[in-house]
This record gives sequence, C-alpha cells and structure tokens, in this order.
Amino acid sequence: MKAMVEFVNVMKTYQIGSQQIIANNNINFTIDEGEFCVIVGPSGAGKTTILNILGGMDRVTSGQILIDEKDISSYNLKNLTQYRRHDVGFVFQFYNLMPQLTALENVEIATEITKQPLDPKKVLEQVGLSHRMDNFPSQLSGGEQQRVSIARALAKNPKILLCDEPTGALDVETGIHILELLHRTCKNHNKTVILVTHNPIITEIADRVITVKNGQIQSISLNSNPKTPEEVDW
Amino acid sequence: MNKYLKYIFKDIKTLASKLVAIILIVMLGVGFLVGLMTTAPNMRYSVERYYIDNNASDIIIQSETPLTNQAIETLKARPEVKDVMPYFMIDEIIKIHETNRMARIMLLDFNNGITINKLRVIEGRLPNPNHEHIEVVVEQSQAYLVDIEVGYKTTVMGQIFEVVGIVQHPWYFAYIQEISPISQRPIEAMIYTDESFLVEKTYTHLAVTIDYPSSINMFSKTYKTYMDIVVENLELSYNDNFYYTTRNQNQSYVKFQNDVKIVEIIALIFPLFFFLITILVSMSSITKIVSDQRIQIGTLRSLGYSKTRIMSKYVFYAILASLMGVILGIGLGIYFIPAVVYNAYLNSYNLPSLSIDGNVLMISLISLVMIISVLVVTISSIGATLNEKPADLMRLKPPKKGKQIFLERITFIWPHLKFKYKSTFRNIFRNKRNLILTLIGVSGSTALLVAGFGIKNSVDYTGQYQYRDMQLYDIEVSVNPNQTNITALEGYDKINIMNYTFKYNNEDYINVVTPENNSYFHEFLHLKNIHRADVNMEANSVFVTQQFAIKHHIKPNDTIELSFRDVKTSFTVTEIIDFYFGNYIYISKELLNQTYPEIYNKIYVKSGIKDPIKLDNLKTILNSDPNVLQTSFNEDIKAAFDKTSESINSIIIVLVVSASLLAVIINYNITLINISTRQKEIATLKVLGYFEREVSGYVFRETMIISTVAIFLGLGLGRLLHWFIISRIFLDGIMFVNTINWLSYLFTIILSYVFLGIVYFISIPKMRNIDMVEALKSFE
Repeated sequence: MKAMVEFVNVMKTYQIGSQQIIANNNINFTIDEGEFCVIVGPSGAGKTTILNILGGMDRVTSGQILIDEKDISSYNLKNLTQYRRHDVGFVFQFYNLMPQLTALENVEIATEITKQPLDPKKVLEQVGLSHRMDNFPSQLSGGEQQRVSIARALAKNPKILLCDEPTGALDVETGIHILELLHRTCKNHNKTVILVTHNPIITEIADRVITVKNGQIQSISLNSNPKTPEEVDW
Repeated sequence: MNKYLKYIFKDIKTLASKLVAIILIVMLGVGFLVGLMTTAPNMRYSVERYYIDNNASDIIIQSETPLTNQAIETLKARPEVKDVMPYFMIDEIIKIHETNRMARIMLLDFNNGITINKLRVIEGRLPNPNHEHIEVVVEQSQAYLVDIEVGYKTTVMGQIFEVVGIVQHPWYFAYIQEISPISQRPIEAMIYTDESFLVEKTYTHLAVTIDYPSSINMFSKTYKTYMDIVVENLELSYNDNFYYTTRNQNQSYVKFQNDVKIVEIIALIFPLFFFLITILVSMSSITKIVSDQRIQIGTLRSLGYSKTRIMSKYVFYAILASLMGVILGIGLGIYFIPAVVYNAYLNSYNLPSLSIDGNVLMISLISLVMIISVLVVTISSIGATLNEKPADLMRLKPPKKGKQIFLERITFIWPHLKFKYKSTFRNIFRNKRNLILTLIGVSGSTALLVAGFGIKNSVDYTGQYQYRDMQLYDIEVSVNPNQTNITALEGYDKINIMNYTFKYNNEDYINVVTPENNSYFHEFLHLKNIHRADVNMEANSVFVTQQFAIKHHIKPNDTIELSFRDVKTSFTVTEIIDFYFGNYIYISKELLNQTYPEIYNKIYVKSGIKDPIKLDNLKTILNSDPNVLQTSFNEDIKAAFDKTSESINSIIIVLVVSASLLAVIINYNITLINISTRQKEIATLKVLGYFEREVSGYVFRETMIISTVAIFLGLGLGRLLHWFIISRIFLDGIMFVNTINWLSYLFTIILSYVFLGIVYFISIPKMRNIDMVEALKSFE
C-alpha cells in the first residue's frame, strides 16, 4: 500500500520570550493511503502540534514531512495555503461554520476554491442533510453542524481528512453517528482519515493508532481487526 | 492602595490601544471643533484688539467749514462722547516717484501724541520736529496705495517732505480703494505729518470715541444700532455742516466683517457631524472594551462586586480618555486653525498678527459636550452588559446569527449572485451598528468634501461669471456731467452711461444704470436673467439684479418706485438679473428720460489691453484728464477678487483635510471592528486554504459596498450642505452662485476611494496576523 503521510525526524519548538519550548521531538511515523488513523494522547502531549503541522497551519523546526510524496516541510506560506486548499479537509471540534451562511453555502465556500470539488448538494445528501441545506448553523443541532463541517471537508475532495476531536462537543449518541460517517467515508471512498483525540476508546475503530506522550511518540500499533463504531462499547 | 483601585490602574495597560483610539478621536473632534468654531470670533477679536490698542475712533466727523474750538469743546462735553481728537485732512495731488498721485494728507498732533486712531509703526519711526524739512510717515502700501520707501523725499507745496516711517491707520487696513470725496479720484497715498505744518491751527475733521458698555461686541448689530443712535442725537444737536462716518460706513470694517461672516458660515457645517463621528467612534471602542472584558466583568459580578463598583472602572477610563483627548484637542486646535485662516486673509489686509481670545464659553461647551457624550456612551454600553446574568457573562458572546435578508426574496437577483456576494450582503445586515456607523461616517465626510470643493466652485464660478463672462468692458471711467469726449479713449469701443444713486421706496438706495444705446449695451454687459437666458436692453426694459430683488421681494411685472433728488417715478420690472456682486437696476434710456434729463457721467470701455504697463499708462493719462473723475479697471477688481478667493481656500483646505482624516479614521475603526469580531471566521477561511487576498476581500468587500452606498449618499448630502452654506452667504452686495462642478463630484469620489484604499493597506497586516490555530479553539 502507498504511504500517504510520512513524518521523518520531525521537531517543533516554540520560542516564548527567552525560553525555548520543545513541543515535538523526534517524531517518525507513516500513514498509508485509505487508512483510518487515530492519534491519541493526553492533553498537552503534543498531538495538536502534529495536527497543525500536518494540516499546513504551522511549520516544522526541523525534519521532513511527505504528503503523497511531496515534501511540505519545505513549502513557503503560499505553497502551504495551496496545500490546505487542495489537499486537506478539516473537521473541527467546534465545527467552525460561517454563521451568516446556510449549510449548503458553508460547503460551497470550500468547493468554490478547489480544483476538483464534489457536488456540494450530493455531499450534503451523503451526510444525511438533504433536508437541511437551506438552514443557517444557528438552526441546526450540534450533530448536524458537525455533519455540515464534514461535508465541507469532503466536498473539497482532499487527499487527507484531518479531524480534531470531532466528537468532543457532542453527546455520545451523536458522536457515534459522526464517527460512523467518518469511518464509512474512509472505507467507501478510500480516503485517508486522521483523527486526533484524547479519548482512548476511539482507537478501537482505527487501522493505525499513534500514541503521543510528552511531545514524543510512545507507540505505533496496527489494528489488524478494527471494530466498526457500532461495535464499540462506549 | 485599595486592591480594586490597583486593579483599575493595572488594567489600563491592557486596554491602552483602545483608550488611545478614544483619546485620538476626541482629540481630533475637539481640535477641529475648537479651531473652526473659534476662527471667526478670533479674527474679529484680533481686529477689536487692534482697535482698542490704537484707540480707534467710533465715528469720524467731517466739517465743511473749519471747526471752532467751541464746537470741539461742546462735543467733548457730551456724555456719550468719550474723547475727541481734531485734525486737518486734505486730498492733494503730489508728485511721488515722478508721477502725480492723489494723496490724502492728514495733519496730526505728533508733538503731544496722537490720542485717537494711533498709528501703528511698521517700519522707521513717527515724525519729529525738524528744522530742515518736514518729517512724514506714510501708510503701508497695498493694492491701491503706492509703495513709498523710508528716506524718500518729495516736495509738497514748496516744502520738502521726508518719509521717516511706514505706518498703519486703524481705519484703512483693508486693501480697498478710498475715493477722495470732492474730486472723486482714488487715493493713491496717505501721508501723516505734524499739525505744525500749517502755521495757523485748522481742523476739518474730528475723530470721536464713544462711551458704550464694554459688553457690546464691536462687530455686532448692537454696536451698529448704538452708534446710529449716537449719530442721530448728534445730528439733532448740531445743525452744522457735519458729515458723520461710523465704522459701519468704513470700508475696511465692512469688508472685514463680510469676510469673517463667510468664514463663520462655512464653519457652521462642522459641529453636528464632528460630534456624531466622535460619539460613534468612541462608542465602538467602548463596546469593544466591554465585550473584551465580559469574562472579567462576569467574574467580578459573581464575586459579589456591585454594578456601580464595576461601572466606576469604565467611567473612570472614559473620563480619563476623553479628558486627555479634550486637552490635547484644545492645544491642537486653539491656535493652529484660526492662524491658518487668519493668515490667509492677510493677503488683503494690513493687520497685526492673530490674537487669541479665551473663548472660554465656547471651548468649555465643546469640551463638556464631548466628555458627557463619551460618558453617556460608556454608561449605556456597560449598563447593557451588567444587566446580563453573571453566568452568561462568563461565556464569550456567540457571534451574531445569520438570517435571511430581504434581498433573498428578490428571486431574479439573489440566485444569480456569486456566493461570496451573498455572504457579504448577509454580513452587511448582520451588524447594524457597523452599517450605521459606516453610513454616517463615510457619507458625512464625503458630504464635507463635496461641500468644500463646491464652495470653491461657487466662489470661482461667481468670479468667472461676474468679471469675465458678464462684464465685457474692462474700464469704467467716471467723467464730469456729459463730458464724454475723452481724448485718451478715442479709438476704443465704448458706451456712455448714466449711473446715479436712486432711493428705492424711501427705504434703500440703489445704483441705477442707463446706457446711451440699448442694443450696443449688450456688447458691454452680457446680462442674463435668473433662468440663465440672455436678456437685451429694450425700450421698456427695467432689470433688477438678483440680490436686491430677493432682499425686497421684487418679481417681474412688479411696480417699483424710485426717486432721484425728490423726483419720484414708477417703473415696471421686466427681468430679474443673474448678478452676484453689487446691486443695480438697469433702466432703458427711453423710460428714464421720461422723467430725468439725459446726463451721462460714466463711460464703459472695452480697451482689450492685457499688458499691465500699457494699462497703467492709460490709467495715468486718464487720471490726468480734467474731465475724468475716476477710473476703475476690471483687472484690479479681478485681482482683488482672486485674493479673496485664495483666502477662502484656506478654510476649504481645513475642511477637506479634516473630512479626509475623519474618513480614514472611521473606515479604519470599522475595519478593525470587523476584523476583531470575525477572527474566528477569518481563521477558518485561512485553514480552508483561502489566500490572504481572498481573506481580506471577505472582510473588505462589505466595507467597500457599504462605503459605496455611503459615498453616493454623501454626494447628495454634500449638495444640500453646499446649498445651505451658499444660501446663507447673502451679505450686502455679495452672494455666490449655487453650483457645483461635476469634477468636484468626481474628485470627491476618487478621494473617498483612495481613503478606503489607504485603510485597506494599513489593515492588511492585522488580518495577516490572525493565527489559524485560533480557528480550532472554541467559544462554547
């Protein structure tokens, strides 16, 4: 199977005043195309930093990051924007929808700028929101808002789908539905999904689990027989 | 120190940038307001000071016969008279720089010191007794007075005059032609020397100062009325051959009063808008402070701090910031703006430099209203927040909800709009306060710009129309009755004119002009009626100029009654004439001569001479013709008008600069609010891969659309403002055309967009600095 993401000796430090803080050190891992990968760890472990770097929102201090064989660690700001534009789909914990746009329009802001987008209406149907397309975020429930957010990420037709605690703001029942949706997307469309969470239970549905602790990778394990979200005992 | 107080002082640091914004806007508002509102009062005050410092006379009395000591003493003894100074004055032709000039010679008591109308020495010194020759001082040169240098000597009546100083007389400070009453010739020099020049003391004039309450402002109507009553009383007591001239008949005083009036009227358009803007901008800053500190306020509330206690902190900030702004603003505006305008007017006045009156009342009022406005805005803004539940305050305010706007119901537009415009339009109506702030701010500053440029247009257009398009003759020559054969004018196009001052309905005086030839007159005076249609002089023509017609409610077909030397005649008005400087009635020869004899006393000449040296030669030759009483050259009048126009420019520049600054401040303020209230949205767009340009478009497109609406609204508002100003400038014999050149609109539009561009560029870094990672954080 082809490697979609490759981290090679990645280090990220922050300068706060005169103090240098190491967020990540010596990070090495690979994620294959079409994998459902969960990056797990307690808060402050450095998993958000990995996500930020992976999403092209932040740059590494040293090391290499290959996405679909392209080295994004050498990208300038403009190239990084282009990378985010075409190759990455984001799902946020708090959905980050534009309050003045309808569900459909919220998907359109993403598709409008991508090269080969999917039809926004069809994607919204896929996530089960065909009847809510003309509603504003304030008229939607949390789960529905997260579905819009996923639809927005999917409609871009990205290489990787990055999800930051996508169920963090949702009740368990709704959370399961969202994970199902992500899982289905990964399996049916062969999308690489990378999910960041502090909740270890979610690792049960992952193909690959990367555990982060104190800014370093503690373990990487492959799940030969991942469960579906329904099968997990939440 | 109390912990809470400590906290209040510490927090100033975190809020510094927002407090500075309030300080700045209050400073600018107060600065411009104080400057503009005190400009006219300070200009008047400067001349009042000049009058007081030189003990200027309130009245000058001229006697046909030499004044007796007894007459002087009885006048002095009158209760209303403060002091009297007799002097001798004669207008004589003397040789200056090899040219015969009409000079006004005043003999004053330099030896004992001049008590009234003291001369202000500009150069050299006052004359002393001298055995070899007569020492004299001369009035400072100006447009109508020749330049005479200190040390110059000339012979007058067999005596040598030596100029020892250049001075200014407080009654002759404006660049205006004084006419010698007997010969009707213009005065070209004013010479002052000691009264010992005449062996026997003789007095022809009296400079009189009047006792009047010091509360009366010298440029007020009350002053005029007061002096008119004094003169009336004096006239009743003295049946002698006395002629009284009050300051209201003094050309310098009148010109200055008119000029200041124009400044005052133009300055009138500022206050309301400036207050509005200052209040709106400080309101947005305070709202921002309060929304930034929601959680703090919530924490304090839940800890049990009272509403007043929390409120006091913000009230303290508001007072501190507005007070600092007020103090800085007063410092900025009090001298600078009046000085700019006053100095611009010094191009047509010989006056001392600007004096600043306290104007305590005006400045306190402006300051107080500003501080109170900011305070009210603060209290109402923080009050609304304090009324929320502490628990709600602990959470960040969720962004305003999106909703459908009316535009979406217009089905033939909305579905065809690009998605980014849909978003923009919804945003425009999402935040109504920003919408209103932008609309008022941008349309207001645009209106000020249009009005400013428009006033300039009106002044220029009026000059162009009156002196270039309408008045086609370039010399007006006054001659002895019916002595119209002037050798120097042979060969030039010219027309004989009767021009006499008539009484109108026993209430006013009016210049009546009658040409010798009706059809030929059109070549000299291209008259148009108020509908801008050409009118020709015909046998039944009676044309009344516009301002006189407005003043006395005269309309075409009205019958007016005119009288000359107690002979009354009625005329039927045929046209009202488009006319801006001076008041005239043009009557055909056929009508006028039914009652009055045909006596020509003026010639309008079209010389076509452009060369100033040739013109000057012609002037000299004309002035030496015994039948010529007076000449008036269009070039001189145009030059004087151009100077006034330049002076008006100064206030227009102040207007344009302040409007521009305000436009930038308001736009910047709104853009900052937009950026800060939409940090999350902007960050999200960045994460989605929007380029910087596209992100700034997202924020700015909306400002651009609102501003565009506001700019066009402002053009209309500016037109109204301009009309308001122009219609108020209705001084005696002066009014301006109510017109704005289309270029002014264009220029205003361009300028307004340039300001938007400036704001766009200075706010780009603000957007660039927004951290994308912010988008992942919550607000729940």
